[in-house]
Amino acid sequence: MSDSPEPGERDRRWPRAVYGVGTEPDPRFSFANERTFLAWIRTSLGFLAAGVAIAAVSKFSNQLSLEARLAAILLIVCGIGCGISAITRWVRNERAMRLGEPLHSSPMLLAVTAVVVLVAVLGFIVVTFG
Amino acid sequence: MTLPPWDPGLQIERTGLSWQRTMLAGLTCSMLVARLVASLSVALAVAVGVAALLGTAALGWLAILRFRATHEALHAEQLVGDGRTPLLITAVTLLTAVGALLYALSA
Repeated sequence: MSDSPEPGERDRRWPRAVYGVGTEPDPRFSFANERTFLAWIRTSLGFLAAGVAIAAVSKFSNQLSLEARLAAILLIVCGIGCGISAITRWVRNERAMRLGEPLHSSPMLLAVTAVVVLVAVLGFIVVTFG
Repeated sequence: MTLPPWDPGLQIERTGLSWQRTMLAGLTCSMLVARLVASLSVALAVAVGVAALLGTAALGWLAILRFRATHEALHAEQLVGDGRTPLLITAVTLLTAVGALLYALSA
């Protein structure tokens, strides 16, 4: 496999911005970083499914209401944000581990919480006054 | 010959299972999209469904190969890790997101 070079063989792992710097960290930490990446991807897929489901269910009553459309778009945009954040966080954390630097915090945690609360408020408005 | 687990925490196996969960989440999401598309065109829905199944099978196979290669590499004290597969998964997810956004905007 190209991702498992022999000791002494030229390291061709990608991206070089990650694997071209620092020293090899404990593989267990790299696996933990990879599982965190995958968890973010699953969160992204969950947001996408929720957004599409809201749009689809709301469409049963003919026209999509403004609140439902807004909630659907918010969830899907959050899903896109989670997807992009997943790969950028993976790169930054792997690089930080190789350089022996502290791991970065993520503004996406706050953004994800804010979107979930906002969509819950929109849902409350629709259920109560819709 | 079957190699013993690389570490008692079964890190490689947990990571492999995490890949499988992600594949299943992706398949569920794709099937939801296929079902919604069926109201527009049955042929397109079947195409989306078949593509999702084949895509999931291909990525699942890639995950298994990666799991085996990593396991053997660690036992042989070789370097592990690569960013290509995470990038591929991100690209597929973002492609699904574009479809979801188009659906929400056109609904």
